[in-house]
Amino acid sequence: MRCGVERLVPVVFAACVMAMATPLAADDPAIGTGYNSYGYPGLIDMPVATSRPDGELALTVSSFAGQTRNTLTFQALPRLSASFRYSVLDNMSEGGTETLYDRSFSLHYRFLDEAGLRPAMAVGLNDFLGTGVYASEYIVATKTVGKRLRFSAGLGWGRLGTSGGVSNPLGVIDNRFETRPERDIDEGGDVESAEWFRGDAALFGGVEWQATDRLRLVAEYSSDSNPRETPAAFTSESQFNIGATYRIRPGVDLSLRYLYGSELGVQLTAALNPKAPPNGAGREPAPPPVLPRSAPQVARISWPAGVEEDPDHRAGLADALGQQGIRLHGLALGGDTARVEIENTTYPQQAQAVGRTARILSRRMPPRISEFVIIPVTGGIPVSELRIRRADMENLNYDLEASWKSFTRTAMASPASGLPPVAGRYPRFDWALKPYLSPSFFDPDDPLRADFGAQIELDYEPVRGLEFAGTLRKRVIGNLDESTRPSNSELPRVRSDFNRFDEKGDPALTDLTAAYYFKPGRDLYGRVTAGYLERMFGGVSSELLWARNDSPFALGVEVNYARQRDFEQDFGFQDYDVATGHVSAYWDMGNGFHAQLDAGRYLARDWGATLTLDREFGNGWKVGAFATLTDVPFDEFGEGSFDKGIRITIPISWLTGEPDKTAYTATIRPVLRDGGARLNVGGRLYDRVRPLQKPALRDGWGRFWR
Amino acid sequence: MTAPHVRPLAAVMLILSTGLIAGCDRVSGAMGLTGTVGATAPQLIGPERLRVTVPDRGAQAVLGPVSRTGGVTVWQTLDGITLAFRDGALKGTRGLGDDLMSADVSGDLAMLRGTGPGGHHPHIRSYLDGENRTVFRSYQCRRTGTDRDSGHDETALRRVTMRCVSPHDSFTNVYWLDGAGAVIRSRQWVGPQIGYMETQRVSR
Repeated sequence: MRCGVERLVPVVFAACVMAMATPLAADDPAIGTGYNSYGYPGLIDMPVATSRPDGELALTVSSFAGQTRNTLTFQALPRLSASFRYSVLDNMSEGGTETLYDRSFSLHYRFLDEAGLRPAMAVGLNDFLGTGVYASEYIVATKTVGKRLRFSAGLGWGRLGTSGGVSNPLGVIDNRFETRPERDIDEGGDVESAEWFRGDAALFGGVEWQATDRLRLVAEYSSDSNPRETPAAFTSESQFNIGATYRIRPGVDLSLRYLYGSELGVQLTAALNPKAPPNGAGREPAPPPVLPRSAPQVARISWPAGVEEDPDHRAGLADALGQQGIRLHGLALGGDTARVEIENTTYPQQAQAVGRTARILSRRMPPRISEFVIIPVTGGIPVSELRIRRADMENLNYDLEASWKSFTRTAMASPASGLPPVAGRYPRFDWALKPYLSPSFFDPDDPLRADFGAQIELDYEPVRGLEFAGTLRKRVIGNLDESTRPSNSELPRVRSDFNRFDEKGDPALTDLTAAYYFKPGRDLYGRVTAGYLERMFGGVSSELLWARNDSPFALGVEVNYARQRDFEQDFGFQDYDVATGHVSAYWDMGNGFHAQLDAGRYLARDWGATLTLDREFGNGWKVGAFATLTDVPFDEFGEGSFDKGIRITIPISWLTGEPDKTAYTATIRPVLRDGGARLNVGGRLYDRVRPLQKPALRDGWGRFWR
Repeated sequence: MTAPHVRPLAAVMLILSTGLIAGCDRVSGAMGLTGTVGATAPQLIGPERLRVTVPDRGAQAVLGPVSRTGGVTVWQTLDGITLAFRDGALKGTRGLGDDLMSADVSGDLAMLRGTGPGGHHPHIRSYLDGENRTVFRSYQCRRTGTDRDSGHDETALRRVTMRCVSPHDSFTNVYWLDGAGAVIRSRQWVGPQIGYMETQRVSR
């Protein structure tokens, strides 16, 4: 999957929300679970125990008394949701008259479902990293009464234990629970587990009434005394809050509240579920119908390029495949077998490219051919071979269980070597002119900046495996260059000078590389890339990947020499250079969950490891989080203590419904610092190889017959 | 979501009605798609024609047969839609968006022929969900009516109504059969997004 414009998430997200036409999964009872002002499942400020539908991604913006909270929440598992929040806080007691910008994470876990008389129960952590403005924990129970009424009650600690607090009941277990240690907020970012469920606890509760299908009324008793907001931002007259939430359209809610007896609050929620694409199962022209070998003569005669005129079938086959967005790479007819190497330039699911290729072969191959071996290729490397019987194409076409029957009857393996490329495949030159949008988040001087412009992408493949690629960017409009905040990093400034690259790099040669891809063994894949690897570094990158065709595990080694580029992003270099590299372990955990562990040396010459967890949806959406710990001490790392962030990939095909391999990936870090920074080289092997291997083919096999 | 299908099918109808079906002209930009994938030109294998209407989408087209395998006939429009029928019963669609991937119509056909066990028979169909997984929908169907419909054409047709129910949804298909038991007209359920499809044999 190619990544187009980076860091485009808010725009694409907004587009997704606009594109949402399908109602969200309605597995909830008649009363929908709302998002509270902190953006996690709750009432107004307080939590509830119920969850949102699995997979849902929601953006909430809430505001009252100068406190604006922007939260992105992902229902990562049916029981677990995770939130990332960016708050713009005016008149906080610490901030004086300055505006305070705060980033925080939350987790909400429902550990008990409602059944009979038993309520649903959940536990949650707020702001367990970061500076702890919102640090709190809770346990909450929620019980539905009838069809339209739901009650919640719980116990809160930390900020949720500041009003009506009583001595911690957990003190019965150990009196250490009775005092909450002060948070050491040097740089923020530590996991402050020593605080959790400590100190005074307080009761909170509330009631939700689903008045109509669209209108939900909420009243709550808050256990939050807003210790940092009162009296600077507002005066709390009461702990009772009331509110109304109106569903403007499925996935879009508007809430109005009257808070703490003195303030009005407003909240807008936009939610979408990656499981429900706006265009359903997608729309594309029907595949070419399978033609049986026994097809009447009339069909054979009307074949566009007759067998006789195209003795090796190459030209006709290449045309027919090309019309389907598939490139013919190699072809060999021997005995009763046709071996065909294809490059899928179009379909998000490789299985669909394979299916359409098999259909075309059934229409064009002479009757003596009874077996198709279809070999998906990337970067000139054959990754897997699929042995499909022609008779199965003819007989299973409209079988009710065509999908799994054809999958189990297809033998899959990893080919040792490729076929000679067909004439006309190499050399190949491609170029594209595209718009780009490059946002920058969370700069205290201006939390959202962006550049918009045009980029030209060049791609030249002279022979098999060799790819020359380059990207040149020219800004049209934008304000990234307004960021003047100098880096205060104590480490080599491998990333924290990003604003100087933004300022001086216009136009910018973001990358210009020569890459060679090869296959040294049946399950081994290799890559060597040299040139201007990314916008901040150039050098040489080499990688070796071991990935069996049917295994959930893969291992890789990457060794790079990199030198920092000039801020102008022309051909020059600065003095700083580094040898960096990682050993990577990849694990496909099943059900769409993927884990990756990279251990090695980072750009600032620090040693450590990165853990990445992703949830991938069958349609290409990915939502994940990563964290890197290195030997750089937290206070030397600076704000945030260590590198971490979330990343979201949105396939264009999800929006349009049409086959398209382009996807937008956005990586959002609370802060970008120098520790734990990895070289950002394109064409990493695992991402290229995995979609062509058996597990991915299996997951996408439903599209084989599409 | 539904709009893009309307215009191209209508355009195809126009072209077909002017008698171009025997040619291999393609309707470029069909379906309002940006066109990464081209529609395959139909290569007809027989003279029969089928007029198909999708009332919920206001779409109509004339199709010709392009493939016959194991009792299943695939019919195709010019703009990249194929429909598969077994003896007049809808087996699958391609190119409509939320396509019917496949349907087991053996019970329906036995009912139409009068060779079934009577009472209810199972009817199973499959679709793709938003994550490209095959989902099966299972229905219990029974004949709810048979009568003579003499309002059409020169000969009276036998009209058979079949009602299918599942815990989630239900549909009612209607088949018009001629004296030989062949399906001449029909109104068949495609799926929740597309609704019903009406078919009629066109004599030339």
